[in-house]
Amino acid sequence: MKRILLAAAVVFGANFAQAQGDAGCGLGSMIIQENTKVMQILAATTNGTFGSQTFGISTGTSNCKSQQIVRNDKAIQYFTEANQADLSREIAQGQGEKLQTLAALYGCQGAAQRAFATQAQANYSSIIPSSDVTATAMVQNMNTTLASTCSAM
Amino acid sequence: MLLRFVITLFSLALVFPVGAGAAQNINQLLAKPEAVAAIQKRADSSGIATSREWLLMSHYRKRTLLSGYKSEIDGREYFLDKNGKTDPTAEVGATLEAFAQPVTEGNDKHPQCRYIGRRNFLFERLAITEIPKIDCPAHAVWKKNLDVVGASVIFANAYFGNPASMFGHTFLKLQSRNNSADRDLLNYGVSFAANTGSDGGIPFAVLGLTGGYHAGYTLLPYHQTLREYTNLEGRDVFEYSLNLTPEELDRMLDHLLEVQNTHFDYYFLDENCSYQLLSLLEIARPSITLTDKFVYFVIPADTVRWLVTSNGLVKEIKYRPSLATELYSTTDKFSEDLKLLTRELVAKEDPPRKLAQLSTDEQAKVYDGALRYVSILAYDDSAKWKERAFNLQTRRASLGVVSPASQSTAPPRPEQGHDSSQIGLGYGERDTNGFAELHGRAAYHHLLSNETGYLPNSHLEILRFSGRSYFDPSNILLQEVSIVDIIALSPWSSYFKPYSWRANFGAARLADQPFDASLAFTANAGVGNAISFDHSQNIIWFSFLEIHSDTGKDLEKNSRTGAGIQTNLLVKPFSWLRATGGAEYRNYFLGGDYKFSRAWAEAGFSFSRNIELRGGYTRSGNVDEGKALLIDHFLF
Repeated sequence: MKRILLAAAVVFGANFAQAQGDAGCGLGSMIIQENTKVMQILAATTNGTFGSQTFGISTGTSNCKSQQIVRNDKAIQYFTEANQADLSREIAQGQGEKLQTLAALYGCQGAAQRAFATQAQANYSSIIPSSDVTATAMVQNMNTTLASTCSAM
Repeated sequence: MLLRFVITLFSLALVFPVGAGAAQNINQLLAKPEAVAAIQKRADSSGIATSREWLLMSHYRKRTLLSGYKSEIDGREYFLDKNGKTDPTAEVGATLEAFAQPVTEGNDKHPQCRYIGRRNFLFERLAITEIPKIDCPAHAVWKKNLDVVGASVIFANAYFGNPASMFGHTFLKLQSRNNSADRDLLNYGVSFAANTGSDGGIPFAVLGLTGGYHAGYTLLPYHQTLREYTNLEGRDVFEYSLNLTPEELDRMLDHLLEVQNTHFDYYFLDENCSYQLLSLLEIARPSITLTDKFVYFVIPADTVRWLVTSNGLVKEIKYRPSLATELYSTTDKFSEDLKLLTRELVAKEDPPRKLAQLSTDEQAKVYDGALRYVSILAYDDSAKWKERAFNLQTRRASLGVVSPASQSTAPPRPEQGHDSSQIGLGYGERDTNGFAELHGRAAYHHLLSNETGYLPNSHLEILRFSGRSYFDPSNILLQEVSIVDIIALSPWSSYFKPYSWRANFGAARLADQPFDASLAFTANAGVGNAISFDHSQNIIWFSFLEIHSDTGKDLEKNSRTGAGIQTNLLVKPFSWLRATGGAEYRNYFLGGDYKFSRAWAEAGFSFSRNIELRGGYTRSGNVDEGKALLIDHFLF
């Protein structure tokens, strides 16, 4: 983890000094609003781009991003917030593309990613102790239970 | 705000070293006016203002009615010349002049950096040495962080839950050097999108059709964009990775930087997501001529069809199943017992007793199915399903094993389907009178057409017309002009019980009126359900409760409104043969005592990807009509 943070500090230079704590960064209040899939017959045709209204994300306001690019030091936090539901499921299953991506963000490669996934599954209850766990808490729990998985290998 | 391309480059807190070229006195021009005049002369004689690259770069399009050009960019501040929107030549002149302006507020705000795409093009093409090139540090950092080494066109399948998505959607994925393979989700997607805020319904439709929304390119992490399509909306996704050179990719990024602070007025019917994606590809490689081909409106499937048929442009195609597809492909192989257990796990608070009798591996498989199922439910209604999902996950994790990865077979891709426009010619008889019929349709897919590459069980026809002659030259009749005709069938499955719906709006000769009665405006819509009798959904029974409204001068009170019910059986034994039969009854309760029943049978037979024979028989009241049409699909 330290190595990642250090690399981020180099890339983002002065901006890194202003980095806020995990709690103050990211999508934060991102809520997947109820998507009732109500047909909008009156809403006319041809472009599917505004669907992301169903996310409460206001891009450009997140402290996780600079020039629309997720800051390296916030990559895990950002990724977890954006994919919390899927990550929780994949952790329970011990596999999945998002969990693999998370393993890569924690510095795991190749076979170590599978070990990371299994380790995450074994620690499900420590990482996700309740259905109300916030993404920030989830990241803290993962830092405790998983961060050493790959640096140990 | 959320869908605008808001790279706030110029408010960056970063402190950059000032580039070498900017070491001049703050008020000093970078080049003397005479030098700029000399370059302008070269520009004039080379005709650079009407070169393909220059026209593409500022989105100039030949005007349809008037002579000359007009840019699709609608932010006035974007143009350096006051007539720049319609005058490419004046814009070249103003741009060259601006490039020589003193650097007053730092390099990044200088025109050379704000118009970095133009700068690189003009400097190279006009061999400019008179003006020193300044460094653009903010752009350099942005590019270095993205470190783009490739690009893919991403196609998200059609989705009938949102009218704007019925044709599918295309956007671009930028491949970063460090994000290959296991970090693919961390790449960035570029979409052309309108900033519609939270508008919906009628304001949304009106503003969308009249260009009332501002649009631009947006940049979002790929995992975020993907999640919306594959998880939230259950749409399968195809990725077409492109063969682009580093120079071509660079031009594309420069362009994105250049238009980041301006906007396009957004029109649903043209300049849509696919159109502007193609523009971007043309800027990358000007020898591509795509937007010229698509005159009115670009259908996403046509975009990928074009890409795939362009020699060597697409190097690899990848399929990404949606969460719903994964649910079906995991559980399809289950025995009926396991399928039932999967549903019970989600439906009930406590695990079914039978589950404990299974091996750990089997239990894990059932849980994996149930977790996908409950995830989809939770996407719809988080409050209701969150706790259940958590409990299932906790129990699943405690089993500890990892199931074999789910394998979903890729369905036919959109470009493998028929082209989206139709023309047809046919013969029919109405009672004893023979007629010839000409049929045409702008887009997109008929329920009885070969559905390879299309959303199964969907029907979306835009601008359909037919004309008829009863072999009497004085009697050529316009039979129908349908603006939009939709049938969205969502068959019930073991997991979900969605509703189906249909809507039609246009002008037609009414089925219960004499054949030469005048055209009437018709609007009707229905809601109902569809049930499939087999797992692969090749036999579907669907029904609708409907309302109908017709307005025409041959009607008793010029207009009538009523309710109707219809039911249909759809059978698809082969990809090349589909048939449907059905009946309806309508009772108009306003505007006269009209009652009306109709029964029909119709079949579609495909000879090839684009050629189809469609024949049918209808009995309306006591009038019989049979006809057969030979149809060719083509690209506009």
